[in-house]
Amino acid sequence: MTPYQNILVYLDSNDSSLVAAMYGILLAKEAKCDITVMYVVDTKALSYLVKSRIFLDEEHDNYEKDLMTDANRYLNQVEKMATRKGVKLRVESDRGSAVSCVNSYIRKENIDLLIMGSVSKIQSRREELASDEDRLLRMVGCPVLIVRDDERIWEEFEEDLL
Amino acid sequence: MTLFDILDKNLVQVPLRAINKEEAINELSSLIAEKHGIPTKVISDGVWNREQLGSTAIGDGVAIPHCKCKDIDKCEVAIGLCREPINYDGHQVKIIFMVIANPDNSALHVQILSSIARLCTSNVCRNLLFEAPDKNSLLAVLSD
Repeated sequence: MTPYQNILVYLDSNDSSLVAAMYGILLAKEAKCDITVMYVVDTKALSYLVKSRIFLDEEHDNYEKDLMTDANRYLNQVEKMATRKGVKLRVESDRGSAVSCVNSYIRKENIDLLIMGSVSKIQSRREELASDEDRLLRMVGCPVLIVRDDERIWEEFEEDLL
Repeated sequence: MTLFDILDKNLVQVPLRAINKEEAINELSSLIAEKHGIPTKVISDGVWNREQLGSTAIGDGVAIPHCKCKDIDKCEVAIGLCREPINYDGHQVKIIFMVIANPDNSALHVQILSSIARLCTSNVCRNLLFEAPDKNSLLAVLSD
């Protein structure tokens, strides 16, 4: 009997979140629990870039389309990996800020474990709390599992990634 | 992912030799192009195409020219600090962050641009960057 029935994996464009998704799939298979993978298209960052006069409105729209395409690509990849492991996985995508979208999903769906890739090394004090992973770690209302990059996890999915 | 996570110190030029926008874009483009073994024009053409849509000078002495380029693996940033401000579409620019990303890495591109935007929002940070006497001092401000 696992203490977790309903787990959520936060997926983004970083390899570390892909490792988290792999780990989540293995955990869900072993624990026979529900698993959802969520990708948030960061439209808050796009709006910030327009407000900062770095992006034109036209760029905002083009990048949003590109990010949606990326989201679908990553979610499809994870869904295929889960299928090959015999795990039924639910995929979710949302737009906005990762922290608020994930937090709201956790509350709405009674998620009891959030799985994320490893948070990056702190290179600059100014950026300490800037990454979505850092903020999620501190702000979500459920237990959080951080998955470190591990060769053994990649090996489990080696054939799927070829 | 932040600016400092991906910054290659060899792509930081203090001071920038350029005395106008065109030279500055060429100088920074050549740093990135040289690293990736591609002609400077591949980078600078992409940057100029973006400039034609609207200036990338964002005010307060900062310009952030950017574009996508399939010859760059993920995302590359070149930074140039001018001793004297240069005329950049009517703006007096002291520091230029050139950001070039692979078209398949839009999320990373957005993260790095956001990281630079946060950095340049602070008056204190901006002034410390402007006053950096050499490359190491500028990198120290970025890593603070």
